[in-house]
Amino acid sequence: MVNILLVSHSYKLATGTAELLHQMATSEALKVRVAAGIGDDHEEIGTNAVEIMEALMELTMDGEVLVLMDLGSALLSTEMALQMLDEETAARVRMCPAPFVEGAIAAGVQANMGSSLQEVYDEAMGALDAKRKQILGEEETPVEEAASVQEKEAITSDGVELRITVTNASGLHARPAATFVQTIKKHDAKLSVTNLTQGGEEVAIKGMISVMMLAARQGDELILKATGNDRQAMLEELEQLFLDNFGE
Amino acid sequence: MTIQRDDVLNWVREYAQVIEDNHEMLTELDREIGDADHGANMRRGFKAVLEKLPTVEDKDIGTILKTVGMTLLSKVGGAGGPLYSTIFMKAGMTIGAKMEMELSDWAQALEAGIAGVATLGKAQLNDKTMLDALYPALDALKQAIADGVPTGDALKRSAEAAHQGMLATVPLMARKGRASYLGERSIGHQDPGATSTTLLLESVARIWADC
Ligand SMILES: Nc1ncnc2c1ncn2[C@@H]1O[C@H](COP(=O)(O)OP(=O)(O)O)[C@@H](O)[C@H]1O
Ligand SMILES: [Mg+2]
Repeated sequence: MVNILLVSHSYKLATGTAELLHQMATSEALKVRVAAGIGDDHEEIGTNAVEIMEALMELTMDGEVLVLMDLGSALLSTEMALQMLDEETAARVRMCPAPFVEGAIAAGVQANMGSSLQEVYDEAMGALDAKRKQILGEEETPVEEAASVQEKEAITSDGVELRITVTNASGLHARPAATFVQTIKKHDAKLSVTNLTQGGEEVAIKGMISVMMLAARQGDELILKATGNDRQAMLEELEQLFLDNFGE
Repeated sequence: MTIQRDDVLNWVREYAQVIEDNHEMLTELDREIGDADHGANMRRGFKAVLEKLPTVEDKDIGTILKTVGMTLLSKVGGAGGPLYSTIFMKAGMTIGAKMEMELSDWAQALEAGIAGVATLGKAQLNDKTMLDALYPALDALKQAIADGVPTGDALKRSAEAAHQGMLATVPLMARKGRASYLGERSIGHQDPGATSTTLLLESVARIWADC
């Protein structure tokens, strides 16, 4: 399991972000720690390299660690902490330049599924794209082009398709998106989705970010295309999720 | 004469007092181009250092400087924390278990400390950081040693060079640290970190004047 460390100048920001993360990544095995604030009660604004180092020692005991940081000196403190750790421990840690809140949540959801450190890192790094797309629209967003094209070729005529309408109020957003991705990961199958209503491209679903890319809202019509051994079972389970309004 | 362990202790104590006397000024500078905490950060750090110092008073210079560095690390909070901590820790590691040192040992220690700051912060000369005071101070010190200048004068030249470097940060645009968020608006203000490191080297020159 990849564990997550949140380094912030503000204890409130870090614990608040951890709270958001836990809402969507509920596995008990996933460890999220914060190293934030300074002083006896973490009340003051600042970061403490010693606290970061201790947190890293703890989190690396049973896995690798992705670290998200807020501003400048949080980076310096984290680098300083890494310098103080032995090489073997430091090699299990990766600093991630993703935006703090978006990155933490994307990383949490991905780590929750038992993904590798690289996958968790990549997912966090793409976290800004979904937000960009929502605010700036299609053209200005650097979508994961290459990846989705490649994956598309892997999906051949032996795939099964399902046409379905998004009925839950929040659409494929945040928590439903997480559930959606977790369901896919359970199966030995791959999924790509086209949002007919938004007129978007076919998107290979690899993680939360690609789901966010669909920008699927209530009322949108989607085509789910599945390939792989478990494709039928996966589609059935996904269909059930939509029918249940993702539990909303 | 050489620089004794007690001279090092006296310098650290003196600098803690200098920070106590100047923390408001440092915070004011940081208010202009940062987040108004540099003085408060340094003050919190050196208060903790003063509390810690009695536990290592009878130890060697290296141990004392490393202890100062470790204490700052967990107390200072801002960028100054890891940066000042690096200066003291690298200096302490370079000097090692000595009870007294030559001026050239100090120059090597300072050089290691500054190299540590550059590695960690990835800043260069003229990025409007503490390095703009530290680099000229080191150059002046090395030059003075090469010229055979006595310790007291050599340290004075080094401190003066730091002071010039500090003043020269005023027209610069910040490229590192929090001030870099301000871009051109950082021009016209003196860098707080360059100011506090100048105070550091000025206190060295005062306390070790007769070494
Ligand atoms: N990357 C860096 N490299 C060198 N010095 C830096 C760097 N970032 C910040 N500084 C120094 O630290 C000073 C600010 O310290 P402080 O206010 O304690 O930290 P913060 O900027 O996190 O609030 C700056 O004036 C500058 O001299
Ligand atoms: Mg500051």
